Amino acid sequence: MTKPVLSTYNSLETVSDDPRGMLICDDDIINRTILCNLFNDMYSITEASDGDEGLRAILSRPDDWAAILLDYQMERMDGLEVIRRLNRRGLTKRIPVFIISAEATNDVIREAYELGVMDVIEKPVVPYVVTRRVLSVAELFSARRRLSQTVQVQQNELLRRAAEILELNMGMIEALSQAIEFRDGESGAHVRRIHDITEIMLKGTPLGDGLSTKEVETIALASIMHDVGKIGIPDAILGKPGKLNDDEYEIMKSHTVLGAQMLEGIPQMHSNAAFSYAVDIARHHHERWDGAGYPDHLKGNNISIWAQAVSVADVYDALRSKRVYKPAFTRHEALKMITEGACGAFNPTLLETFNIVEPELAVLYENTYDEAK
Amino acid sequence: MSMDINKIKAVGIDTDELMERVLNNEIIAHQVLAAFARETSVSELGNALDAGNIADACRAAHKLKGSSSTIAAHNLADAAQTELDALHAEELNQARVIYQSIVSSYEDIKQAIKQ
Repeated sequence: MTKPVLSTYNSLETVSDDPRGMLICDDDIINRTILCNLFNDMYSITEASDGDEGLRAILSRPDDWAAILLDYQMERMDGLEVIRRLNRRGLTKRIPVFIISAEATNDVIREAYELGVMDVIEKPVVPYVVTRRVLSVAELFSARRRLSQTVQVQQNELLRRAAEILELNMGMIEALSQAIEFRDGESGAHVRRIHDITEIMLKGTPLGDGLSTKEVETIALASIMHDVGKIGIPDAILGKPGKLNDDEYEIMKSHTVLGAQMLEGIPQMHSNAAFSYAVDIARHHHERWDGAGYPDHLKGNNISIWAQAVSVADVYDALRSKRVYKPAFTRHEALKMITEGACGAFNPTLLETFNIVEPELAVLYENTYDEAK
Repeated sequence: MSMDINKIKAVGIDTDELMERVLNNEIIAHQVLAAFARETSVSELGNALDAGNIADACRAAHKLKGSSSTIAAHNLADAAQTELDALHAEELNQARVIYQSIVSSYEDIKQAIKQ
């Protein structure tokens, strides 16, 4: 016995995760037997003798069906009602559904197509016609599924690469900033702590009100570059163990302007989301709320929120860290010095936020930042 | 299990069409014919006519027409269509006469299948 019609389709490309189930829903066992015989070489067939039974089978495993063949006229629930219910669940877009009927009127056929039926096939079935129509559409759905999976895989790969590039950028910025910190006699971990403190100060706090999570993360990245201008400060000043004289101090203060100029002079930085924050922070992280800071003596809200956040982070870390010329201050000493203005005046909202997040910072210094001790 | 093709043909079944429909699979052909021999639509039609229930009679005649067409029993399918026409015209007496010929054709087919 030969099956010439089917052999045409046996070579169809399939993928392992393609659904292989076919539901044949017809109240006439003769029709079910004939349709099963046509498709049982290609699909795992499930039979249902009425619409209600068929619908339950479909809904019990909606991802398993390569095609659904429905008789129109059946007891309990007809084929059109099954299609209406599948349509309401969005399943007619995912599964090719066929009406097989001898008596469907034009109105029924129109509604069936509007509900997403792929084809209406007349009974009694002609094997060549029914297999060709059903398999063509099933293959189309399969190809669409494969294409969608391929697009998804490519999209995931692009996202992975973008994340890698971002990670690399972050790593390079961090490496550069750490190298500068080493010149300053620091371990390099200072920039990482400034990053963390800035993020904590701005994420979901009164100070960071209006900034999105993404913006806060970008600002935290930019904060790493706050002292990048120190690369232009001579070693004799940067590494001087004692107090700087007035001239030396003026040179030291110029790291703010130098840093901003350096960053502005890197054309590749301009398109980076962190660029404008980084320039602003590098220049203004030593400004103070009362205008007594440097280099521009900005006052009050003329200092950006991110530059203010980095300024308090920088001060807090300097106080909590051991230096060659001083031991690390305790948490309470540092808190007192900042709130009482020993390190310059800060924005009241900044101090309010600082008091809120300080317990979290203290835990970090206690448990995570060993190098600061 | 083999069928006597000539006897099947003799009762008005187009065996070429039937065999094409079952992809020349004799086992399936036999299953289909055996299912047809168990059909209840003929007795349902008789009961509905006895009760004068045109809606049920239409349903049974419709079902018989469908299954007869599927096994390529064209004469019986035509008779079922004539019965449907009579029922749609509410000609119950005529429908009862046609029913007798349906029973006769169906019994012949059943006998041929059983042999």
